[in-house]
Amino acid sequence: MQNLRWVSSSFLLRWVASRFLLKFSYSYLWPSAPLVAHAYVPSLFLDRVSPGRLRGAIGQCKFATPMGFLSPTSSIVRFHAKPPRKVDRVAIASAASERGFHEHDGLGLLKAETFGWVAMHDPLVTDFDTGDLFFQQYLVIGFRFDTRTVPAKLAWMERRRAESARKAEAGVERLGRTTVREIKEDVESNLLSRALPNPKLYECAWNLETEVVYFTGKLKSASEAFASLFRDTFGVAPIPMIPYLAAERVGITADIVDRVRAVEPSRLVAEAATPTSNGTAPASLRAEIS
Amino acid sequence: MKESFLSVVETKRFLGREFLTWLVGRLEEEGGRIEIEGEFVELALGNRVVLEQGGDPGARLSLVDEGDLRPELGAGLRRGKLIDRAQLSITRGERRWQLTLDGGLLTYDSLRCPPLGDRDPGAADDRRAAFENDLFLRLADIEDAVGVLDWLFAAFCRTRASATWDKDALPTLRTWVAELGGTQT
Repeated sequence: MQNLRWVSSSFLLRWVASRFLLKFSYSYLWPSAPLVAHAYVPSLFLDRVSPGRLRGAIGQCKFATPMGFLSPTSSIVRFHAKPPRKVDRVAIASAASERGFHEHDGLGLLKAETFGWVAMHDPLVTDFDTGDLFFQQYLVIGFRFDTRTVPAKLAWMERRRAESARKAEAGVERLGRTTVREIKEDVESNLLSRALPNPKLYECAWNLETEVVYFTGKLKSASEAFASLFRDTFGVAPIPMIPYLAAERVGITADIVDRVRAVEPSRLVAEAATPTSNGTAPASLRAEIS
Repeated sequence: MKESFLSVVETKRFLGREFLTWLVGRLEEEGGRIEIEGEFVELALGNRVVLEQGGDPGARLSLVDEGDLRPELGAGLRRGKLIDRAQLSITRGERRWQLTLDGGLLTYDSLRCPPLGDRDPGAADDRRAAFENDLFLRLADIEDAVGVLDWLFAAFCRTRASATWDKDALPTLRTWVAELGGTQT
């Protein structure tokens, strides 16, 4: 009876999950839905799935919130990037296509981090024409950033297993350093190829008139990968608009910018009255005491 | 990224934090109604504030409360921390934005824009036109919110770079901090 209950609830959850994913696959409001479907539907329908795992998968679908401009909320990081004087739209579309997202590198290998451009309106499109990228003064493009991780414990156990097998095969007690390194690389590569990717989708809108790039991600590794890909593709390095640099882009004179950049931190309370974070007296007070 | 750039990010992070602290102080003391280029905009502090001191992540103080944040905010500021992140809302007419401003990096987290307006007639049947319509409306919303904060950042820079800072703005901030309440912890 207990088993029957699990089976029926499993079917119900599968049906709900599939309806949910299919509904959002056609929605611009959640462009990453096809990816989530791609990642989870095979496990939902082809594997023998335990109810707990299924609920986990559905839970992940529920919280895999979209990252883009059209999602209900998004995090925006600004960069400054000066476009070339004459924007060759065809050449840009071609350069972006060359760096479109591909799961494998040129040698057909999987990496721990894989990233590339995707179309903003459809993350499965990685070959662009100008119509995919240019919307009046904006160049808009999606950025897919996949990470694969191998559990450290699993890697360690598999490495030990492979080392033992190699020792038995060679009839030796110890393996050379080169062999150990080779085994480590082989094991990691093998496990990496079996790990599911964790795809993240970001979006970029480059206002070619104001020279501002809006990027919908704050994750440091993704942001750095984005900046590097942007530079390689468009030939200009995007500079993050931190306050120090943003000062020159908010309409104030160069003189004020220079003076702001030179200021030292102010204290909001009189120094003698402020205990330091470790509880000792401030330097000036210590000097007075001594 | 180059080491020199990362060094600038770290050493000048205080600039954005001072901006955010000045902004929150101004909202609390003078109210959030601000005239920007002939149009009134209403800013309000939300119920999430993060204070930090220098580059020490251990010195972070996160305040999340439905009630009055002022006493804890005061205690944190008096310990030498500055506001690193604050939830803000911006209202212009009937349109309302909500975001968490990261002052240290000047990024806009969890930005919630006003609902998208009606689509142009004809866009309903054409997916690309509908997408383009929604995208333009949303990017315009984002640029509106960012524009308001840029205007305020420019106002802060002008004050910070002038003699007004030491003579007027800083003493006002110090008085505000002293009057926020809360115990010295």
